[in-house]
Amino acid sequence: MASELMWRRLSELEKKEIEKKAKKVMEDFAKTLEKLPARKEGIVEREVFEREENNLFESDKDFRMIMLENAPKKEDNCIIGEKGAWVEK
Amino acid sequence: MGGKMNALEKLQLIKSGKLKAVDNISGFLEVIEKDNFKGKKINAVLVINNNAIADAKAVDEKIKSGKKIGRLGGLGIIIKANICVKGLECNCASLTLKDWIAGYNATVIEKIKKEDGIILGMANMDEFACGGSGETSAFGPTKNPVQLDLIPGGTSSGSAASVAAGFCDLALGSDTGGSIRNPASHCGVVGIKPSYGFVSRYGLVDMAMSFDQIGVIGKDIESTGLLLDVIKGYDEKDPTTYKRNDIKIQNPGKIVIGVIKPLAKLDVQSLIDKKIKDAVEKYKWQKKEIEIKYIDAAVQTYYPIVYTEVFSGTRKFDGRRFGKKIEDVAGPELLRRILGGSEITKAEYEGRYYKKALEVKEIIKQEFEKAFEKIDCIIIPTCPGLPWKIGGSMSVEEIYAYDALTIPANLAEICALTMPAGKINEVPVGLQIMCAKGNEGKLFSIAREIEKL
Repeated sequence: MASELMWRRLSELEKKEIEKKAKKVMEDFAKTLEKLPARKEGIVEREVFEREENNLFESDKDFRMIMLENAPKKEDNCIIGEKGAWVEK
Repeated sequence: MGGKMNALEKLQLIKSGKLKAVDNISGFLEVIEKDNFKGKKINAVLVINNNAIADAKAVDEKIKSGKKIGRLGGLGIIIKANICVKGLECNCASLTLKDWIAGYNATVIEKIKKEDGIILGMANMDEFACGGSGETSAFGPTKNPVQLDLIPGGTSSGSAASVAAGFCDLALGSDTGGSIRNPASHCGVVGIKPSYGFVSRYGLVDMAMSFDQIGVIGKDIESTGLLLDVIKGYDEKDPTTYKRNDIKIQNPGKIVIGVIKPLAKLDVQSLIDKKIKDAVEKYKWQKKEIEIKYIDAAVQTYYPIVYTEVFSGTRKFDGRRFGKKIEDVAGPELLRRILGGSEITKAEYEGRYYKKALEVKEIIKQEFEKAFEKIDCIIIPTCPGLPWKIGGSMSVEEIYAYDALTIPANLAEICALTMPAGKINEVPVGLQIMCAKGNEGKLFSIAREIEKL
């Protein structure tokens, strides 16, 4: 059996196999968890869970420049994100 | 000047002017060039800070002009490649963030710089901190400096290997389920995972927000404690943090050690048992057998939370703002967590995986809290066995089970430290000490006594 850890570029077939394996591992773990008691204290479910954006932590003057340099596609002062390009096909 | 000296001893020499900070730093850079990029090709360091020498010269200037220097004055520190250092590539050992330059400093980096610590560079790691052996980096595995054909452990593989190889005085890593303790154990050095909320995570590229903590790897207890003391504390940019007292390493007095039924392979467990026996005899400490209910289910509790949070946390890597879309270039372990997380967060499974695991986590946390009412610390092995050969055949289940002794501390949010306990066939074995949440001072005090044995 080859190492399941070593980094390598994955074929589409390998990706499918990995997905199958991940589901199986999670299914097995869920079966164990089902048998255990649970404690709900300490877990908070919030109705409102979106934070308000504000300018509390302003970045320094270099931040914008470095961020733009990191972007794969940009034009002038804008990062270009092609509509829908990041969505799973 | 390399890695022969204890960092605290070296600090005294630098402060007294007997050792120049620039010589300390250039010494490290020479060793890194010799053994990391060439020669042994340990591959622990991915990026060198080209300003390190200039930063060291500034410390020497301060000393020369009689100014007070910081608590880390002139020490060389290597940073795991998931912690932002402004101007350095913070690639998380992934192709997704290859060439991504951090635009700001993490809070821990600001604190290190304020105390005149010198950032030497960025350390290799498992890809996005997903792994446990140091093999999942997109830039190649890190070698264990103790035995080059063995894994160093992970995910802070490069940080631990850098300390062991003499590439730096100290290193920062991050620990989500053992990622500092596991490699520190396999490389024969000291590593601390602080309590949840002890250190700010602002500027850490998250893996699983419920567990992630930044911690320290060093050669000895006191130097490791010094750096943790510098980076600890409340930060308004991380709402999980809280104000902490200084870490005082002192005589811990009479200690009651909690021990759990044998958890590791016989030879590893024997080494740990021997250390406990020696400590009990020398310091007249007590040993008490305890039971932590549901600790056997730690792995099964941890991974559904991790899968979910890895999936959630990586949605920003969609190829727009940085590098490449993560699913296109991820290695097997990272992709497994993303795809598994995508599956179990579907609405149809609500309550079965993530929520249930969080509820069991609370039970395990409560079990530890009850145990610490009767004992001062728990001592167990850090890892259940010895490191395997790089590229060795391990199934996913075997790899996950390997974290079984480190994960409980993350679930319980407590502090835990690993330190060398001895060697088996020249391979280091780590001893793990756990203390209640926020008791880092006691943890280091107990560890220093054990270090003296």
